Amino acid sequence: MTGEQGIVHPAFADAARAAAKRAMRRGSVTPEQAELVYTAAENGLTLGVRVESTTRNLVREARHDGADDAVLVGIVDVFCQSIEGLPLREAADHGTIHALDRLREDRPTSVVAGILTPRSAGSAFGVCDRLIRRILADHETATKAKPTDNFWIPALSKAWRGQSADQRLATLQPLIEIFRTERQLEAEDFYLAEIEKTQRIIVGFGPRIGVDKKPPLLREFERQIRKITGDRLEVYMEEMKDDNALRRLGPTEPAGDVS
Amino acid sequence: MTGMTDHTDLILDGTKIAWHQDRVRAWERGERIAPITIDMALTRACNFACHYCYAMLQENDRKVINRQVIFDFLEDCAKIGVRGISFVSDGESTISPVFIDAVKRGHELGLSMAVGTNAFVFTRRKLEEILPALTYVRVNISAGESGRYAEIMGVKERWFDRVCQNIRDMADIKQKNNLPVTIGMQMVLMPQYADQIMPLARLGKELGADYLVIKHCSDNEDGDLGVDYSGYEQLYGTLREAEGLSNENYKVRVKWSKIDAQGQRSYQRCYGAPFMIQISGSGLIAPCGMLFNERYKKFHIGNICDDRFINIWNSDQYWEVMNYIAGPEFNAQGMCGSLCLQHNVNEFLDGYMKGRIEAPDFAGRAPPMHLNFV
Repeated sequence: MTGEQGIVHPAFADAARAAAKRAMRRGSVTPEQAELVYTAAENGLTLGVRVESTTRNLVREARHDGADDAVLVGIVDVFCQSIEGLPLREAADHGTIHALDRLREDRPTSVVAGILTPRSAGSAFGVCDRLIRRILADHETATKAKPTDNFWIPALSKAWRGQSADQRLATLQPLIEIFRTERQLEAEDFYLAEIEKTQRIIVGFGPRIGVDKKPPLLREFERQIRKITGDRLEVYMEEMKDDNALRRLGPTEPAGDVS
Repeated sequence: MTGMTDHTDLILDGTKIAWHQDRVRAWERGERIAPITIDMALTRACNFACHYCYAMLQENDRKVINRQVIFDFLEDCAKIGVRGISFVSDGESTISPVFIDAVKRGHELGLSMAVGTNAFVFTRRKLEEILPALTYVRVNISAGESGRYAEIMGVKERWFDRVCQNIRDMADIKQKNNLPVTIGMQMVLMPQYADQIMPLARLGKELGADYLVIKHCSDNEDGDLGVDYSGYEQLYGTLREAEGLSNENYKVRVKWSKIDAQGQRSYQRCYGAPFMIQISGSGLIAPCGMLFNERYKKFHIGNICDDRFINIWNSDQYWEVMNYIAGPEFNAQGMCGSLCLQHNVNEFLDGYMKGRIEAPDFAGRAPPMHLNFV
């Protein structure tokens, strides 16, 4: 099965060319003491990464060389920027997804009709995937590390973790006010309720907001507060309790034959 | 003929997604694909009170799926290329007044139809009417003795006898009419139900079922049902003993892939939902049943009681939600409950996307049974 499109989906071509013009990751990685350097190449394009030799295996530096197509230069450059600071396994598993996310910033979410993945976004992402996965394989061979499942998630900032629940609500209050103003919503239409388990933001809606409006508002608000705070916060509504008394027939629905 | 002897495999622990490579390729190309399987309920109501019931965590705004709604829905499914509908999900569909008509209509439209049920309200007459239209019927029965059945499933002891008779009738009707339907039984295993593994495995053989599957119990991301995943390991010996009761006509299968996983996921993106969506008994469409509760409103897509399914499937809202869970904003390891319906599909697709799994070549091989239920 191969589903790759052209070198890049047309929706990203301009962004890729613009990234190529300001390319910041061209060249070779600079060796540092006690850090590991790997390279992988395909069709004249070389990807190099420098990885810290601790258990975290963070990518310290990523560089590329040899791409002759402006769009490919842009994609690989954004890819290199995206994987710096990530564990090497995360870079190999999801590096192209992070790169795609950078490229599509402030663009409509649905650039393809169905699901946007590195494969439906163009073959340039497939090249990045193959190169970084070859590097991960080399790293595992060099360090005798066994392949493991990837449980990496970006940590919440020290600033956010250091706040009390009330302080976090106070931090978010001006953000929800801006959000409401931009959408001409009243305070009672969309409000903060509480914060659960550090990162779960519980919000509520007033009766003026139709049921079909709520899901996109929740996703947009989550995206906005993540962008502004830099923390991976999650937005939810309050839980609805089970309406079945002991999971028995509900009062409002017609009963079948339970005799 | 029994459902087990036609030289094809009955996959009870795994996924058949690799057999649907045409749809996987279309998904890779970024096309809008119809779900292969839709898991749904016709009502949120239930006449049982099972101790482990995940539906307790799935409440959402209730609407009634009437005859017109379900008929429109089934027509839309057939039109866009859905292949299988299983009435399982978050309610007991057999107590809906539209259940029998829905099964028959779906079958007439060429959809594979299936049901997961407590099997209490069936009668022989009803079974004779629906079994020819079903690919499988799977009876939820988590004990093999009436006293424990009553405790675990929250009903009167004598209900056990009625359910057992209904399973006997299913097997009898299937045999007499030479029907291709598979008669299954399912035990949702909590470690504290260990005493019922062997009695139930023996009961299934006695009743004439085709199989008994023993599965883990799912829990939400906060563990509200209190499932002790570490408690399963001490049951492995008993589970293997139960599997040893299998013969040519009766299989006992343990969902090892999920029990072994101990509630952990190896993947972070959810790629499986477009291939396999879930619909609540309220009509709500969500990528996954674990996201039915109002709490997870950001994942809610629409309601078949309010709009035609074909419109909802074609909407930006549908694909925005599917893209959200397939994208970097989502992490199934922390934002989902344990071991969802899409788990095995997700594992395959994640491995495939990471280049760790290759699409197998099935040329010349007979497809597995129940192919349309991935």
